[in-house]
Amino acid sequence: MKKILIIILSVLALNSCEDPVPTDYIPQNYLEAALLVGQPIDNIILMRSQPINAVFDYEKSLIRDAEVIITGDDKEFKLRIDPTGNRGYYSNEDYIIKANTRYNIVIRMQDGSTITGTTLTPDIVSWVRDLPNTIQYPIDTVRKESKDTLIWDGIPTPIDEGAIKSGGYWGVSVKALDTLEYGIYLESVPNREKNRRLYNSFSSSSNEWRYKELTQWGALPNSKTPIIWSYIKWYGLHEIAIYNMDNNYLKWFFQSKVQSEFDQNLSTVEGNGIGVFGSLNAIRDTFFLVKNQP
Amino acid sequence: MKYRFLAFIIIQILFTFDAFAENASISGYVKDSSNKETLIGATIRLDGTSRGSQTNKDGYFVISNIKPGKYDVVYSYIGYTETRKSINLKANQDLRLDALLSSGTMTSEEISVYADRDDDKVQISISKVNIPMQQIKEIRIGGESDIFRSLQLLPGVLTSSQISSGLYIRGGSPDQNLVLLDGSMVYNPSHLFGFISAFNTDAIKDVELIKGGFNAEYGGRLSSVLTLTQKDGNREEVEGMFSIGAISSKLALEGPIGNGSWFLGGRRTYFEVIKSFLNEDPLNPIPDFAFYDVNAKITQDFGDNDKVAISGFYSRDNLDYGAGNINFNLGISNRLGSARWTHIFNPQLFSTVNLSTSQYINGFDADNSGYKVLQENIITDYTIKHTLDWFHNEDITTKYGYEVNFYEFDYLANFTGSTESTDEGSKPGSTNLNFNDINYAAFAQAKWQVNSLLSAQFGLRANHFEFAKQTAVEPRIALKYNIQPDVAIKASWGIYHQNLKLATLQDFSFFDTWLGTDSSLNIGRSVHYIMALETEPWEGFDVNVDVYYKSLENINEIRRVVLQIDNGADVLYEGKGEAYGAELFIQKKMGDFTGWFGYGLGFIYSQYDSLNGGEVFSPKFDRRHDFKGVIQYRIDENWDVGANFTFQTGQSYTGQTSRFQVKLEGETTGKGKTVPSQRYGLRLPPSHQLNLNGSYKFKAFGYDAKLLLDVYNVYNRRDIWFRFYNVNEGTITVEDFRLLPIIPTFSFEIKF
Repeated sequence: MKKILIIILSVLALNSCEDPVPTDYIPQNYLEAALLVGQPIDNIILMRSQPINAVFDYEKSLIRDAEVIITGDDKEFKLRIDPTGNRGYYSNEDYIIKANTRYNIVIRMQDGSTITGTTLTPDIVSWVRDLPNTIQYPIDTVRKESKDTLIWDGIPTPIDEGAIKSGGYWGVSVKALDTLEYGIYLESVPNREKNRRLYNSFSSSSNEWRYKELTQWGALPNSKTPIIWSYIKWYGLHEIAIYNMDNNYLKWFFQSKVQSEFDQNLSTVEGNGIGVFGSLNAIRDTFFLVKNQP
Repeated sequence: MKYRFLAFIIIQILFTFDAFAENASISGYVKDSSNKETLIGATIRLDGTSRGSQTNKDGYFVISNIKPGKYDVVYSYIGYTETRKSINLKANQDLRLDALLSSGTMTSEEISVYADRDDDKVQISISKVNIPMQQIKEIRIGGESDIFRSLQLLPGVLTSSQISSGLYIRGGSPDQNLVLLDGSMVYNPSHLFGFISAFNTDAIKDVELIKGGFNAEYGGRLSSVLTLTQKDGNREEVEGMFSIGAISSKLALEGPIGNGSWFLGGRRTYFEVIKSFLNEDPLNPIPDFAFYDVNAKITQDFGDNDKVAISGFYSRDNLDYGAGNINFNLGISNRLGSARWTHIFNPQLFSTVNLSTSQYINGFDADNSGYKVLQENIITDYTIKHTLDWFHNEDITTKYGYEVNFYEFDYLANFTGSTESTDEGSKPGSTNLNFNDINYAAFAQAKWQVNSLLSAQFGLRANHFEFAKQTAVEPRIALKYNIQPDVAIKASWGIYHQNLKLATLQDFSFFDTWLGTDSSLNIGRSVHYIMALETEPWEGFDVNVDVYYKSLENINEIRRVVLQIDNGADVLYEGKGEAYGAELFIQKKMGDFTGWFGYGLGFIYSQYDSLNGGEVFSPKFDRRHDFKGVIQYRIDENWDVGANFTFQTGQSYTGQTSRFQVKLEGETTGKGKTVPSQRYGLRLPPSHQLNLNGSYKFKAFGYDAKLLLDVYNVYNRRDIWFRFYNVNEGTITVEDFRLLPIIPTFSFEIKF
């Protein structure tokens, strides 16, 4: 009997090596700030991370009482918070962000700590070939190449920061502007069928962020690509944007896409926070994706 | 200064060669009487004396400096009937005394794992384990006997998960193990992306694992050495074996040719056959997966003193998937070839020359709506290794040799969308790198029986790594002291270097890439300190206790984001580590019940400036407690049953302390992101599993046949493969990806 007891206790002792899933909450200040060349200073989001086991609440996560200052182009912009929270911090000055210009951000938190960052805005990008107005999705949905090709021009921002090095990558995003009514706004309405999703082998549960997300992002090493169908989830009208990203934003792209766990090596702000202070230069266009079947 | 002292000691030993000129010697090969296959590790002793020896990898032995007179020479080998020969040795006689041993019925009472104390007569071995192939074949998991999975049942040999065949030995990662098949290096010794090892057990006749403190003959790796020897083949008659199992089918044929033998064996999966009976949804197809491997060997004797063996090995894994607009293919293969010439200059001087080549190819290509990407990496080596074994006298044996490895590294990656051609060099989205490296190594070692209680072994290995332009000297020392006839204390110390680096993910070995050390990285270095106690406290029981400490410098982890590769540092982080622990190993060799019990206590720490904020962490494969048990029971002539059990501390994982939401420009919902705590700072529940196996021998169509029944994971313990934080929805959930449930399997094999 004693032996059995010893065995049971030994097994229990070894089992006790397991750590329970922790629910400890260590808040972290988080900055998501991107300057868009040709646009005013806007949408500077400052958040406090939330507990793992809580439903994410955007409103609650916003930090609204920080002092946020952006300097650059021999100017200083003291940002104000949008009371609705939708825009985050913004500048109400009539100033447009310039290309090839360095901007710095300093955030002073209520506890006196700071978050700082710096970005050099990227060069322009332009279309070489205009996008066709309509793009036909292949009739056969299985294993079909696209016939349309996007080509743009520019010099992507090179990066050489030890961990990440490249002659430059372009950001590409495709945003669905029509998820419900398939082309009902057109002069010649294709049909009266409700819009639906393209088949996507990586489609997931309707509760998931990526299922609901209207915009698909990717990064490409060259300035020419066929239409990649997995970038598109609905038929109908879309906006496509090509971005020249600064080093910080390129890193942030990989921060977003590579894994679900935050990677400190891809953070580009200093001080009492994590996140990004980056910049982009974009060109945009729209196209209408025609259904493969009636 | 210490190297000079070592060299002085070695030279002093060598000058004592001819002190016993009047005495005689015996030497020869020991073979299986039924098929003339040489036996590795057979023991030869002069009855009534303390003199003895053991056959080497070629089945050769020598006992020198024997006083003239009459002796009974006793040959023994596990699973074989002991054989005796009476001889009358004259002064200065060099007697060639080959022996044939008859295998008894293959009995589980005679097969066992053993730590070769007898081997110490030639060299002091520490932390070395041989598992006879008969034993490995009995330890089946999921119906498949597997060399690596059998080795994982030894203490100190850890796994990343129960479905991984990777060997994590005393804190070292799998790339730190030198795996040699007939002298050829094997770079990716696994199938099914790590689920089972690449070696067909029907084609292998000997497996030897040195868990640390390996001697100067071996180099180029930081942690351990695993040597596998392919079967020569039956020299008497043509025979074959066919088996059909749950995962694969195997066929082996062997027979005599000329003055030697041949062997040809292969196995393949048949998942595609099963798949053809299933109704597939073309939009959600089942991936095509297959692997196969082929082993071949031909051996010829040229007189009594020369033997040539040529062997080859080819393995291939292939995964194809196509759905929607996405198609991809992944292929992994190993190609090995070796030629080995053994020559006996005289009974005391034995030479082996090994020419080998090995190639590992890992290729991936994908097509997404016409946007094509590919990645391929190839490592090819051409190696010459020459060793001389010199059995000077009863007290001194020496070994010398040199080794030259010529490596070719080819890395091709193209993510530009058009993969028809890839320019040389590295630019955004594409990399085409080809470079070569040559490693030169020379080694010498001497084993000196100082007195009846104390023996010492000194070794020195010098390496020059051409590409890295670095030279590394590796002194190695081993000592053995018999405090009682049956109790030996051993100690070992040595320095080890590793030039090759492996870029791999620990969870999936899909895109393993081998790299040479260039000027951006440093040669890996480790120092081993090992102490061992070996004893036989009860009749039939061997007990080993090993205590070890290993320091590791310039070890690597892969970077998660790699955009452009110009050098090794673009791919790998460089760090350091240490591992220490103790192992207890108790084995029972004889009787109806055989098996072993092993317990390992280990501590592993790593530190990288760029990971975990520069703080020390325990890597994922760190498992504090490691308990293993294997038992085989022979019920009667026909029935054998066995069980193996493992219990390990759960593997490490990284906890998360908070979450936020990342949104790229234009995104409407973004995605969840978690903030990690200490890297691998938490542990999963302990991992444990019981597997049962049974076999029944009978005659089928007049041939020996065997029916095998295995039950994998008997009590359906679904261990956790990995734990992850699902950030895809508003509420983050902690989810566990669990391993396989209970799986009973039947297999059948027939020998003809």
